[in-house]
Parts: sequence; structure tokens; C-alpha cells
Amino acid sequence: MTVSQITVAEALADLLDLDETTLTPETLFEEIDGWDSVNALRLLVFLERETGGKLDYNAYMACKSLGDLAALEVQPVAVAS
Amino acid sequence: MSDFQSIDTTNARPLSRLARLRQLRREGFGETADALRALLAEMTSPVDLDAAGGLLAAKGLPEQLASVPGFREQRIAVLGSSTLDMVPNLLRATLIREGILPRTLTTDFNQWHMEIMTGAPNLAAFQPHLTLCLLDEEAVFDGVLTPHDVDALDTRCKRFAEELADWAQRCQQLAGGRVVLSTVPLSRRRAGHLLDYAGKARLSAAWARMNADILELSERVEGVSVLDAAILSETAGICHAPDRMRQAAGHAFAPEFLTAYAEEITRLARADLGMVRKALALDLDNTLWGGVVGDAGVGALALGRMWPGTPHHELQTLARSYAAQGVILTICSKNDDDVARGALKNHPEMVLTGDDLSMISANWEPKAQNLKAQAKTLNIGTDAFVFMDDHPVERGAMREFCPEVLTVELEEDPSAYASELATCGAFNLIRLTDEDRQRTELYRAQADRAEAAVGVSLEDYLRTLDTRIVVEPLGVLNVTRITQLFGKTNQFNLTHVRYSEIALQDGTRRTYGARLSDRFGDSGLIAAITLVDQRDGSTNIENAVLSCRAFSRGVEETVMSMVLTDALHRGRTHVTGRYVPSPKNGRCATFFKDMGFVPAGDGWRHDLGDILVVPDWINATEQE
Repeated sequence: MTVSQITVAEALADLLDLDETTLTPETLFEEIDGWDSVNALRLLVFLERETGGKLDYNAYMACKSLGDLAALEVQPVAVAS
Repeated sequence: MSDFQSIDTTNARPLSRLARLRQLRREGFGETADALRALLAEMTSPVDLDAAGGLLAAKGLPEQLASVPGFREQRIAVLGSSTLDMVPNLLRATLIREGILPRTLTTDFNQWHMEIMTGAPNLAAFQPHLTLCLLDEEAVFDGVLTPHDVDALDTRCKRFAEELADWAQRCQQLAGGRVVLSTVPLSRRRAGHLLDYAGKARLSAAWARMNADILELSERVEGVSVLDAAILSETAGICHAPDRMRQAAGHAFAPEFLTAYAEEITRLARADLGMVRKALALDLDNTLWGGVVGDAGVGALALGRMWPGTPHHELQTLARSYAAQGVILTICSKNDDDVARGALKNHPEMVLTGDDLSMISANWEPKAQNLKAQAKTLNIGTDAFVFMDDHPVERGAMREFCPEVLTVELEEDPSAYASELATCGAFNLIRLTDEDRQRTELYRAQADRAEAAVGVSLEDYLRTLDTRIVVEPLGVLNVTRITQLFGKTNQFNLTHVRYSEIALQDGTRRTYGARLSDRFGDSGLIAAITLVDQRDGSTNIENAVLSCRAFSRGVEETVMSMVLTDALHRGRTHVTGRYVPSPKNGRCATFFKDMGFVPAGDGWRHDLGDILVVPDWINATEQE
């Protein structure tokens, strides 16, 4: 399973109060108003909650655009049965 | 997978709470911001609260909220030894939820020590009401070269507690306001450096002594409070940050822990501002005892030290502790009056007695109506009440008709009732005073007075009360109570200027308190006034407050007569004062006029010519 563009756009819109319709797969994080390292970590934690899995930290930090992030693989979290 | 499950439901998804918050922001919060507070109350996850706090920091929003009636502003500085980016956001969300609008200041990463050692340049300019200092174990281990050397750790723990004591004292002096410290939790990762169980035990002992020393600062240093991180961890279910966040971002504490911390700080901020609840209204059937007394009879009730009576026994014991610390207990029950009173009186395992209960409303009227009547008799606001009832319909009705009452949410199983009440923190205080300890008695006397007042003229009645008023200057014994009175009093509060204990003692004003007693009992310190002598020969009344339990008894006239006479004797030319209207202080709108003041500019003035006399039913004295 990947993160998906809808999830990324919704999460960013909610966290930074952005208009979702302006967010496309081509949007670069560095272009986003208010984007910084603190918000990068908040988004990571937010996405892990929304997807219920874990993201590889290095791969996440290497993402330049929303599309890069939407294509990231979510690693399922082992649940004790 | 069936066909039904593959249907695309994207469009049907309900808006997330954050999306609703953004929508509310666009539409405006309305006059009371109740919808905003209710939405924040629904949020429990740290992720949501952090994001909500971030959204609420946006440009223009704090100003918009500052104009909402009833919202109080609070300046809060956040210091720490780890990354605490989330804390200001979490605080904003949890404080706004409780009617407090924070302005926060954070210092750079790990600058907690440096800021104070350099004379607190940032804090002094910010003038915080609260300075929070949340330290993690690295602040202790920073001073240790060999993390497995138990002797070195033992020495370091002792030294750290001393350093922190010194730090807290300086911080309080430099920043003013209240300083809030926390104990430092030890992680299993750090404890795991030691291999032998004797060594592990020694480290834990040294660590516990250090935390005990830190906790003692709340007794030793004026203006310092200390939170126990172990209890916050129990609330959160987790203490330290996930390893990845610790490594990558310098986080020491888990988001859940920081949320529990923000919620506890919110309770403390409310207590510091005097925004405390005063009364607990309890249901009887299936709340204070198991079963319905009207159906089953007193003998069949579940109450006592054996299951299924234990949850109710535990709740009654807790309520009794609260009563002993000044919470007014009342009963709101749908029952016949004699049946309810009979059960309270006759059940052998009843913990609460008639002495603990200030009022009992057992009838078939709506509970909101009963609670309003109780508030009126006790002369407190309905917003000072907490309501506990096992029945969801009763809780819903109370929320509907009295949203200002704090209705405790309960699960069906009564096992957790006492825990729910004990952890909601609605009655938390900074420090207990003698008045708090005696309050149950005071309010029962108030209910008795209300009964005695039926059928005679007010003045005749007042003459029978044998009222004594003693006016005393500010001192170490009354400063806590006077601060509390300025903080908590809403109805008779002329200017809404509030003070910290430190501000009252800084020598810029003269402060007096007044005590009231009568034949029904001692009402304690019920009024306070602050006076500032001006260069032009006048004396200005900066603020005056009067507890609602002392209304309409001539206390205002007595105190004002003494203030004016004193000003005359000290050779002052005139006394000035101001009335600043608020949603609740309408009853003092005519105060200055009634006391013989004349309008002057935007305030009032008394030229000390015709000073009103102390009412003849009051015996007033001054204490040096």
C-alpha cells in the first residue's frame, strides 16, 4: 500500500490550513508556505496515524514533491494477536 | 471481498475534526466560542490537538478570541532540555478548550539553564504568569562522564536537585509569576546501563531522592509548583519519545505524555487564575449507591466494602475527601424526599452523612432546575458546579440546559466512577486555605441563614445576626486567601484587576482583607481591597472584591466607610475609583453612587465630606 495523493493533500491542508485544490502531485514541499523541519515531522506522525503503518524515515525525508510522498510504501505495523 | 465493500465511499467520508475546525475558523467562532470549545473537547489524540493548536495560532485569531466574553489571557513561558515544539500548540488547544487564551514564549533548544543564568533577558521582557520548566533525564546525565558509575550518578543526583532549587529561586525572582517544575523520569534505557541489581537499586534510590528533593521545592520556594511526572506517565500510558523521534529530532517525551502535561498545566492555570469549580452535585440511585432505593428498599442497596458495593463506597469516600477540602456537596436525585433522606440516614455503610451535604434536592423536577435552585440558595454560579449521574439521559439534559456545568462523562460500569472524578481535576487548587477546609460548614450555615430569613424584614433579620467585621492588613497568613479572592470573585469585582501573591507583596499598593462572622458561624475572609496613594493627594481604589456569600449584609458600606475615614485621618484629599463592567459584575454598577461618590472623568470621586456610617447591626473593628 502507498500513502496516496488524497491522504497527503488532506493531511497537509489540515495541518497547515491550505486550500486542498492548490495541492498537486507536482507541488514541491519547499514551495509550501510555512514548510519547515518541525512541520515535516508533524506531517510524518500525522500520516503514520492516518495510514496505520510506518514510513521509512530516510525515504520520507528524501521526498521533494507531494507526488514523491504519495508513492511511498507504507510498512504495516505488526500487531500482537 | 464482497461487492459492497468495494464501493467507493470517498465522498461520503465525514469531515475530520481538523477540517471542521478549519471550517469553523472561516465562518467565525461566534459570540461565545462555545462551538470551538466543544470541538476541542472532542479531540483526544495528540496529533489532532497539536495540529489544532497550530491552526489556532494563525494570524488574527488570538485577537479574535481575546474579545470573546469570559476568555482570560495568560502568558506562559515554556523552557526545557529537549525539543518541545508540540507543547505551545498542545497548550493552546487545551487552554482554549477551558476558556483561557495563552500567549506563549519558548526559548531555544536546551536554553533553560542559560536563560536564567544570564539574567532571564527573554523572560523578564515577556512577564509570564506561568514559567514552565520540563526537564528530561539528559539534563541530569549531561553532568556525568561514566553513565555506569553508580557513585558518580549518586553524587550527580544530589547536586542536580540543589542546582535546580537554586535555578527555581532565581527564575521566580527574575521572571515573576509562578514557576512550574516537574520531576524527571528515568528511562529503562538509561537504567539499563547498569548490570547488577544492587547497582540498579542504588541508581533508582538516588533518582527517587532527587525527585523527592525537587517535589519539596513547592513547599520551600514561594511561587513554585511541582508536578509528578510519574502520575502524568500513568495518565498517558507512555512517558518517553519513540526512539526514532529521539534520535532524529531530539524529542525526549512521547506526544501522549506531553498532552497529559498540557492538560495538567491547563488545570493548574485555571487554579492559578482562581477559575475553580466549587460544588459537586451527585445523583443517588446507581451513583452514590447501586440499585434504586424507591423500588428495592434501603436494605437491598449495593454499598460497602464488598463487591458490588465497592465502587459506590469508593466514590462516597472520594466525595467526602473533597468536602473536607472545601468542595460543597449537594444531592440532585429523582426520588421522594423522605425515601432519599431515609436511605442517607439509615444505611449502615453510608460514608456521606448529613454534615457533608450542604443541600439535598430529592424530588421529581428536572435536575437542571434543581441545580439552578441550589446555586441560587448557595449564592454561587451554576458554572461552579460539577455534576455526576450514572444516567446518560440525565447527563444529556444537564449538558443541554446547563452547558456551563461540568458534567462528568461516565461509562456504564460503576467501577471507574471514583477514578473519573479523581482525575478530572476540576477542583484543583494551588494551595488549600483554612477557608477551603471550613467551606462545607460555611455553606450549610448559609442555607440555614436563608431559612431563618423567611418572614421578617431584612434589617430586623440582619440585627439578629450579631454580625462582626474585622478589617486586617495584608500579611503572610492571609495573602493566599486574598489572592484567591481577587482571582475567584466575579459578581462583586469592581475592575477585574487580579493579582499574584508576589504582586500583592511588591509594595506598590496597600491591601486589606475583611473577615465576617455572625451567630451562625465564621464566614472567614470575604472581602479585599487594594489602595494606591497618588501624588496629587488622593487615594485610588485599584480594585475591591466581595465574596457572594457576604452580599446584602452591609459589608460594602462598612468597608467603604472605614476606607474613607482612614483616608480622611491620613490627610488624603479625596478617594477615587472605577467600575469596569463585565458580563457578571452588573450588581456593582451602582456601587460608587450608593457609597456617596460623584462621577469624575471615566470614574468616581469622593471628597471625604459626607462619609456614610457603618450600619448599626454591624460591629466593625480594625486590626493592626
